[in-house]
Amino acid sequence: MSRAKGARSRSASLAIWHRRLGLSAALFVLVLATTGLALNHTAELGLDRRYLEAEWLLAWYGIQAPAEASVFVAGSLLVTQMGDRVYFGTRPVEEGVGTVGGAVYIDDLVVTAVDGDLLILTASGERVERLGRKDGVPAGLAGVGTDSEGGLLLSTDAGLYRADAEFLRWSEVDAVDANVVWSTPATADAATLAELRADYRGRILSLERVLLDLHSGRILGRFGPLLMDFAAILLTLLAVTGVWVWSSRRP
Amino acid sequence: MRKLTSMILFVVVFAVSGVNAAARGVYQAPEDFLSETFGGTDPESHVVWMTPDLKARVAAVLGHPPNAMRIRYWRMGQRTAWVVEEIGKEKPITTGIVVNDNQIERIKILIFRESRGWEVRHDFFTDQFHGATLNGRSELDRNIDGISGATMSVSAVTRLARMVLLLDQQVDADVQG
Repeated sequence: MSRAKGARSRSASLAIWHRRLGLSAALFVLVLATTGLALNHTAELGLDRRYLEAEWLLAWYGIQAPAEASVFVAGSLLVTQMGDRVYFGTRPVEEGVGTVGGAVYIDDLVVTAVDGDLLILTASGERVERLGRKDGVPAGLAGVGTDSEGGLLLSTDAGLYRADAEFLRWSEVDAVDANVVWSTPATADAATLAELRADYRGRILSLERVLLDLHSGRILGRFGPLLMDFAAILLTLLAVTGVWVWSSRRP
Repeated sequence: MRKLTSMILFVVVFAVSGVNAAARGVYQAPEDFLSETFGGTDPESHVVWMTPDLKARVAAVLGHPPNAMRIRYWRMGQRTAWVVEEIGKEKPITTGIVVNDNQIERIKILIFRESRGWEVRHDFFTDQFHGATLNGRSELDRNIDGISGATMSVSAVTRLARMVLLLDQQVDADVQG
């Protein structure tokens, strides 16, 4: 066989391998390109604000709602902590919460003890303010209650404190009257808890997370990234064989 | 060779994860920021209520409605101090801002919760705001240089600076009115 004939044969063989590699890489290219395009425009497309609720997908990720919930009654409102979220009724009003220590209803406002702070919201869930140590809330907040005049009382490690009408100043009180009502844990009915659990699960898995996991292969678990590594090698070979075939066919 | 590569990878991953872990957290407690700002004295706090007009102006600056109906501040003479929050990408960045005579005197990142963009806590970034004021369009009178990889945090802190200057103007107008 002449040298030219040998070169043509190698080139034809490479072209065949190039086609096979291309076909094998097609699915990966589609996944990487479409997810990459979408992820490049996360903010514009609102991918981080759109949540997926498909049961099979939540199950795939192992997303569960907490088994326990803390419930307090503030006026006619049920204040529930589920996981790191606080709900008024069935409406989520605050995230990133560690512990809820009680909730009271004062002058159309709901004051909730949250991680040692006081979260003040309207009954419709609009945030008025969150008060912490910098705002004069005493350290070691253990509970909230209302006195006979409807004022806000705080039970803290350092004693009892009463807030002024606007929750701007705090004064220590020696004793409280017999009509003080402290916020204590309550219970919610099963239907409400089921609704909260469904809502909780439906606000965890963002579309951005799923696209990121598809892009990196992590959606397939620990071997997913290896699969994407394989795809990257395929694409590299595709580029190399493509250039090789092209250059070997140049006149 | 394989061993060397693994070691390099381990060191890089460890260093990066260590930086991230160290970058998130409380840099200064808000009450300590206030104490430092006012030299250990404890001025009384005041609040600015979001009237419909002010709410609209703040929303125009932030790009979304304000996340509270009232915002607290501390005042001593011409100086006001604010502890405010704005989300960079996913979580709020708690920022302390001191305004003196309608100019920003100091900005300090107090609590950073995001996984990226923590570089905004450095002085080389926050020093850019010193002396900044608002122009007639409620924009800063200067350009703030961004930081690669921290675009959203930079934007959040810049929005907070504008909001606080706007609120400070409102407070002054209320006091004089």
